[in-house]
Amino acid sequence: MEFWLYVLLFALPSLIEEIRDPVDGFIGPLTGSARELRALDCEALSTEAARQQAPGRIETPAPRGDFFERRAVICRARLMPEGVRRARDEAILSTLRTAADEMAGHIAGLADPLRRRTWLVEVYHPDLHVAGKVEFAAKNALMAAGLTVSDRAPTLAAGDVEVIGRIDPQRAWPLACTRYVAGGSLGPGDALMGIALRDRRATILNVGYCADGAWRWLR
Amino acid sequence: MAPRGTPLALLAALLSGGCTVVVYQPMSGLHRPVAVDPTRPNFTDVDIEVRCPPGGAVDATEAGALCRRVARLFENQGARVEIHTPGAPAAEPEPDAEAPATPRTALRVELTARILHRQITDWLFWEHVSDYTVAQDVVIRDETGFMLARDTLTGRFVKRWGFFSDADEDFSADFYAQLSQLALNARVRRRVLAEGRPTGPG
Repeated sequence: MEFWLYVLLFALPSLIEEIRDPVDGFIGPLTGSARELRALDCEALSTEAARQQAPGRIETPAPRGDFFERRAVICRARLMPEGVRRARDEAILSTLRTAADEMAGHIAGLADPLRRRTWLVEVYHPDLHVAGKVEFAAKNALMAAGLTVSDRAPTLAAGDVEVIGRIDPQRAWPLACTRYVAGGSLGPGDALMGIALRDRRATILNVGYCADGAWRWLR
Repeated sequence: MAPRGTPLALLAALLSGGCTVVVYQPMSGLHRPVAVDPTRPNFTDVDIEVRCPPGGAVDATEAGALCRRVARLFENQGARVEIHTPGAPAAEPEPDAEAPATPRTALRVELTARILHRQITDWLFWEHVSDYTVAQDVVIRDETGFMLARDTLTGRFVKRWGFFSDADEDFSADFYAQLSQLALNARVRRRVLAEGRPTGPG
């Protein structure tokens, strides 16, 4: 009897801790918890950093210390369950905020006369819904960076669309840029931020800009 | 009535590790969705140099094994791979070697591992590592040293009582898929940056 009390006394704190742990190896393979583990994004933090992110959830250690070694892992459930969206789109959309800020940062880092123009945004992505989300995020990020942004979309003549739609992106963007300026949809006070998925196997977006009929890739 | 020692023997058998398994938890980066299929020839015109400096979580032998496996991963996808061993001088090209007919993309992949956390369970006179978290830093550069991609893949391994474990296979599948995706993204970025020169009248 004393032995079991001894076991319980020593094992209880770790058993309580394990109840809150997303890993449960003992019953995991039977309950499908491996799938649930993959639905979480976790980050190991110092207890001080974790206390700031999740106030009230992390115990404050006693002023004179105690016998416990504490560490914190904060897990967040993914917004969309695995498999709902195409893997490529999920990878792009799950990091869209950071990517949009980085892309806007490239534009905001341009020289001043260019930076002060009115910026239009165009996105090429095979999925129009994803393209719409990327465009919205990019415009927000540009505005947050202090740039002037327009909701207007540059337009091409039907003949231009037919030609440009058939050539590879490396030549299509510079050609579209010259045609936007020649057609008058991109004026001298305007500039275009172009965002493209250059390879269907990639999970990154590339960004360039068009100004005065010249196209340049930035990232 | 069961003998008095039976529960103790059962507990000892469980604790002795006969029924412990390793559970793998992808923490960040490792379970990000990938669009590339690592079984396809994704790097047919690419030269890849793989570097695995020892230190942190891996010794020289483990770093060598990691490098060989990653080299095989990229070779299977059509790349020409070279493993760079730290301390050894870089191989100089043969003076009369013919230049390749078509220019090839060059990527340099560097892998370093860090132990973020290690929990040691102390049970009377017996202690073992019951939980550890590893971060694998991946940096991909072009031949000039310009950084094209960078990521940290973090995974946790926990020893638990249980009977089934696919931890090795699951981790390998995640790790190799992420490496393939990072290398492909780096390749795309390198190509786009090479096109970065201004065109047109401007």
